[in-house]
Amino acid sequence: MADPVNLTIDGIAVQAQPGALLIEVAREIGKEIPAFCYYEGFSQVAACRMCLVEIEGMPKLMTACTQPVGEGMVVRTETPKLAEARKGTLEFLLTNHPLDCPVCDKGGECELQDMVFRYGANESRFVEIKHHHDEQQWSPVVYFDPARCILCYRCVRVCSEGLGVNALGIVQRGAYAEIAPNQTDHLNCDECGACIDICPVGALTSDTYRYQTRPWEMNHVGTICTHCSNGCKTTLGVRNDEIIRGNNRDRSGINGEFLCVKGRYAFDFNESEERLTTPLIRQNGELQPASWSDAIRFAAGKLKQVKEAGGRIGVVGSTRATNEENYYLQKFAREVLGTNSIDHARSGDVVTLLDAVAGRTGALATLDDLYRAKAVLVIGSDLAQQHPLLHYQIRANWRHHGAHTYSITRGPVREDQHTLARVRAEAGKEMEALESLREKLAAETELVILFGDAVKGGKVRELVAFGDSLGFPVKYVCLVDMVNSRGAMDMGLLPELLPGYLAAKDAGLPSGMSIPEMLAARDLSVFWSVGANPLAASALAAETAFVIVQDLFLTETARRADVVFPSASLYEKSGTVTNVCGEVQKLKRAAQTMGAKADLEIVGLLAKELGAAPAMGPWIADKVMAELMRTVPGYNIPLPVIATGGAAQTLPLSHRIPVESNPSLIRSAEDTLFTSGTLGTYSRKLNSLMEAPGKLYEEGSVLELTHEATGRKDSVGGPIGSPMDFFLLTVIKAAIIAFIFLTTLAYLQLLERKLIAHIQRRPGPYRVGPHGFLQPLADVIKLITKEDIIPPHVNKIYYVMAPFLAVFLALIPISLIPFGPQVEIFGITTLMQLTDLPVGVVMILAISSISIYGIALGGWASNNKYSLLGSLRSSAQMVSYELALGIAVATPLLMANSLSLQEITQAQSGFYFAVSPELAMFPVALAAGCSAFVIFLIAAFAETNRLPFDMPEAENELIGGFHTEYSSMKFAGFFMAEYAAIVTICALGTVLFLGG
Amino acid sequence: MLYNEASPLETKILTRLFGVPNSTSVETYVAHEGFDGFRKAAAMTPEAIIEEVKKSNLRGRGGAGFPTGMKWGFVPRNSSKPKYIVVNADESEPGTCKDRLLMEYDPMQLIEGMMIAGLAVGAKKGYIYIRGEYRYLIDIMDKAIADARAAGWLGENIKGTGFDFDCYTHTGAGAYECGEESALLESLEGKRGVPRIRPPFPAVAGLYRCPTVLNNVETFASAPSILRMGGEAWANLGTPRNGGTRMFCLSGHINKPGVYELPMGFNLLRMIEEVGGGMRGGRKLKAVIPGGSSCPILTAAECDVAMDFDALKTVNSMLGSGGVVVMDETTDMVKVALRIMKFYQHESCGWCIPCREGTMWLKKILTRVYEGMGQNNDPALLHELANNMLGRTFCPLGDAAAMPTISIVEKFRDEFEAYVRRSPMANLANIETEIPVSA
Repeated sequence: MADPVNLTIDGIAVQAQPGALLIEVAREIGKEIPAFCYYEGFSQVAACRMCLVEIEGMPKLMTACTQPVGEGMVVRTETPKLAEARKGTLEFLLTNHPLDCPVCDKGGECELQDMVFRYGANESRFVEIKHHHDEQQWSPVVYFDPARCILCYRCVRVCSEGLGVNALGIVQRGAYAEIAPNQTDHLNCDECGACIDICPVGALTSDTYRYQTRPWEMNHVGTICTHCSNGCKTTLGVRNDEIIRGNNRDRSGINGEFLCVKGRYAFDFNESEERLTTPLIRQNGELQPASWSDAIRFAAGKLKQVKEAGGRIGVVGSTRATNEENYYLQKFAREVLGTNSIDHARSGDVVTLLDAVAGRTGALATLDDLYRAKAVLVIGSDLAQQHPLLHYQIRANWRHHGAHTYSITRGPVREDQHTLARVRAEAGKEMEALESLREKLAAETELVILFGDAVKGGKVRELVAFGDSLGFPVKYVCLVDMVNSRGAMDMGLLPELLPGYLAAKDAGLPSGMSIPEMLAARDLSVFWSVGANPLAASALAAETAFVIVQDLFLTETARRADVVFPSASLYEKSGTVTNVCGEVQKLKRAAQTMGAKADLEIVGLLAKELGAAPAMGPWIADKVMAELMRTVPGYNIPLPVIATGGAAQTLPLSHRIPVESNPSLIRSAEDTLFTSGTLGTYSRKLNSLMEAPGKLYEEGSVLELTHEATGRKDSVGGPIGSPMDFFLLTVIKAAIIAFIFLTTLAYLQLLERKLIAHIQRRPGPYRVGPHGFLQPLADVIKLITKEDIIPPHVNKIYYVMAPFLAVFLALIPISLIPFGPQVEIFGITTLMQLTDLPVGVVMILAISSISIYGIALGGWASNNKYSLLGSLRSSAQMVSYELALGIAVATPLLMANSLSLQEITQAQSGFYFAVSPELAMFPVALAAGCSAFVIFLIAAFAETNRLPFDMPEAENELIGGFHTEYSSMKFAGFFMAEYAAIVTICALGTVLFLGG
Repeated sequence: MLYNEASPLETKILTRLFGVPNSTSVETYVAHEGFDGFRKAAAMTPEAIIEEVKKSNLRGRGGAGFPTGMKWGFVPRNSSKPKYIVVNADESEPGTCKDRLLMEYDPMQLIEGMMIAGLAVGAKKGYIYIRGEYRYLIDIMDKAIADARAAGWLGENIKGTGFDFDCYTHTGAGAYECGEESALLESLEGKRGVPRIRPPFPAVAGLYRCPTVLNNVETFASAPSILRMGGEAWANLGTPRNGGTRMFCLSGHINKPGVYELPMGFNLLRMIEEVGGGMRGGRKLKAVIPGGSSCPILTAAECDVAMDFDALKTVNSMLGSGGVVVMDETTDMVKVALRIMKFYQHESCGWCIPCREGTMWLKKILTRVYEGMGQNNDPALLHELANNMLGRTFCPLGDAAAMPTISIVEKFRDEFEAYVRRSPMANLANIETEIPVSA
């Protein structure tokens, strides 16, 4: 690396690499130079003129987006002159920009809006008529409003440079210049929507999101896309449990700004009217709705019966379920059902690859390797269609680092735009083609090879031998189909292999059947399909077999079932998935469908019904993850990395795999950008985009666009459950929580009295009931029946109000505390929490801040200066410790990246923010979590007036507290509030620091 | 047939063949010392050629006045990439019409100039980018190139010097913006004619990102005489730091408009009176645009000035492209400002915000004022908006639109105010209500 250059930005001395752009260097030190057209990773256009900066010695203002750093440069990024220049530019921009923010989709997250707030120019001096063009629809998803466009050319660049599609350009010139689609009035493209996400204003909007909601009305949940195996992070915009938008505008996750059409738009299957919301049982040849308990009992009964009779059970796992679910499923099948016939749809020969490179480190590429490797070879895959993120990464590598790319494919692919050498080879002839590239490849110094299902079995070993013969480090990616295809394999959804590729026969298990064998076995007694559709194309030979199906939809397999369990989609559960490069990422629950359960829970309920719950362990994703991290080789990954939204590659296998894979079982479904297996058929948006599925290896890999939707009817409303159910459920929950909570308060008070008495060698309350156990009851009766004295000099209204206010405010926060994960009671699935507010923590802090009013009001209304002073004293203490409390609470919030108490709990799966050995690798996090917890504890004592912070109520010493003038139940009210506060703060502490 | 008669005050060096019969032929050119400069250059080292051009104090004739020798010197000599010569014949500046005459009457001189530049930087190919509206010139240039090639003045091993050179014409599509050097290169490469980010400058990364010498027609046409006469002799024709002669295009309210070759530093008033034959109808001089419409305007009082790059800077204007537009006392300056802004609004490429939106807004205000619907803050607003564009646009087009506007509003503010005073809308801007806009 070259010597760094020294420069000064706004008086701060900075070191930077030569050639680095000023705008980037400034951003690194926290100086955000405003810009519209600048977008990291794409070509410079310097068109918006917002990033102008002053550089000493240069007469004109310079654009920070094109200005490389120079030795001794003195830069100023915020001066009155610059503010005036930026305001001037904004004023120019706003001359023709319509001021329709109240109806614009971008309002609230618009970069132009933000800039105008920052620099002014909100009052227009433009009295002329605005230049207007009508809005245009370019495709089923893309709308363009030219009037809002500020011509930053981001969309043009992301489309041409980023994706290689070149569907957008500029027509006309001057004030009439505008962005135009490649087909004059419509687009022929991937429909990926990158142009929409990258648009700084509301010029490009999407059909799925436009006029739906405002950004601040949604929860923004970062989770993993459920479609292909690339495992892109997608930020789902969720309102009232409904997914409204998918994007990745914050560029977090392994995919940066990238998402394909499926990631952005194909989430709508989640709200499909065809979602199953109740279990179904076959009665008299028909599938009939049933309750969860009946269905579980029915299925479990059959499993038990078959197991005892020694019948054959076949289990098919899912390539879309989480690692936890697949692990739990195979554990149940092997340990409880005693069958080894467990399989999944295999789409790539990961087994042979892992065996061929066993014991090596760094032989398996990560997504980052694709971006950094000096050379990349693709064998037998149309990446832009089948693995869009991998294509994007490789293309970015070529753009930024000039990577050499090679391809061996059946037909034209989009990589052809930049491949150094390409070979067309018919299926099965790939290895010969590889030899023809040997000379060119041997000249490289580093290589990543990606191969599809064309290379399997012995050919994988040949390929690795070829790689070894090159004499430099070669990394491999075995391409697989679905979001967790790789994870399903790792979790041992294979008859011959246990989780972590250990031999099943070594564990003393009987030999099992693969899917084709299960389908062909005439003596199969139970066929159990979890999130798979093996009967889509073939029938089950065993006509009398009992079929159990867990799925989102009534698929071909589900139609043959005897019992169907509605399962939750990947967007509705927690857990982890492993992408094509073996990188594990964590899901966040975004939405919820009433009636559906996660597959993990369904298997768990079956286990419980079979009496196997203790052996199986709890069906909580985090607990299962903790177990599989211990037991599955390769999965002992750093949890905090994935808990905070990162991706951690599984560790390389240290042992050889004792079983050869069977190449005939491996076949890719060859999904394209516009298909996604069975799931894709339920996405109305995906179906409306393209008619013909699977046109791989087409010239330019751009499919013919048809605007006709295929088949699927439109319908309004989703099966979320009626509002009345929801209302009733909430009331019941509130009643239960209130009862438990109030009883706890009473006995907490008794406990404290007993403990203090014990310390002071007194017996404490012991008269009422055994050991004084009924004392609280007696106290309450006494306090209620006691004469209620209201002194004549008090302000009556406020005097009466104060204790009620105190109690009321102390009770509110408890409604926000989660007591446990999702549970099912009487067939109703609900959270063990009254409400999961997205801003839960802030709400609790806010309520506890105003709870001071109860005390202050009590003191003031008493009309007694000692009471007033007492109340001020207590308020002062509470207010001052509130600060410390707030700061302490900020630590877990930052670590969990969420304000929702549920999500904070989920983020601590397997470790605690307060103190945890897993965090040892992050000393800063460990120290922060630890010290925050200590501060929280001290502040909590002060907040709740516990020893040694019991000044406010130390009547004996101080004579007059805020409650001096109170008696009977009103007096007790204050203390009830205080004990409620203790419970709340303890619960909060547990949630925030101790994993919930 | 010439467009205008020569003036006795002219120094005929570049225009020496103007009026000579059959001046475009190779024979006529060779008979008048043609290719002597090239022969001389072929015997010199590239460094010596550049040194000679530096000595001549030749400054770019396109408008910016950058020393040509220095520009040629920036071309990296040992670059492995091919090098190119590109002639900017996209002469579009309002008031300027000199390059067309140089190509029409003496195309060989331009070809020789390109060859000399080719020798100086090691280029083997040249392109002449001709303005779309000058289509008839393409035929003349193409014929000249074919003749030169036939006569052995282009092609391989020219006249036994071992130097290979050939050149081609290319037509623009009518955009003023393509006269900006980097937009010209984009257009020449077949792309949309928008400017490039500079640096890198064309000398390092020009046509197809290869080192490129890009100069105006007149600049290249000056090279043969510099080599023939010697740099110093050529420099001595003009003033210090402004060598040689220059083609001035006199137009407007004068008796003898036309293109005249005069030494650098010729006095502007003398130019109007003696070369241009004085004001038409004996009217009084009001204002002069000294170097094409991009230059700040000069009032009559400022016109006693030497016409060279440095002297015009002292009166806050520019020599520009040599288009001298003379206006008499009857001229409506609001109309002048509007006419100039209409041109720039139409020609703004739309790439950057200040130019795209600024020119449109300024045009709309000027139109409104001119049509009698001005408001009394309009002159101030025009001035402020033009200043908001100045120095903040991507390429010089924004500056070119802002500078004349600023100077006209500053120097003839009373005329704008007179317009506004007559307007029924005059005081609306002071009223704290919404301004009614007719739809």
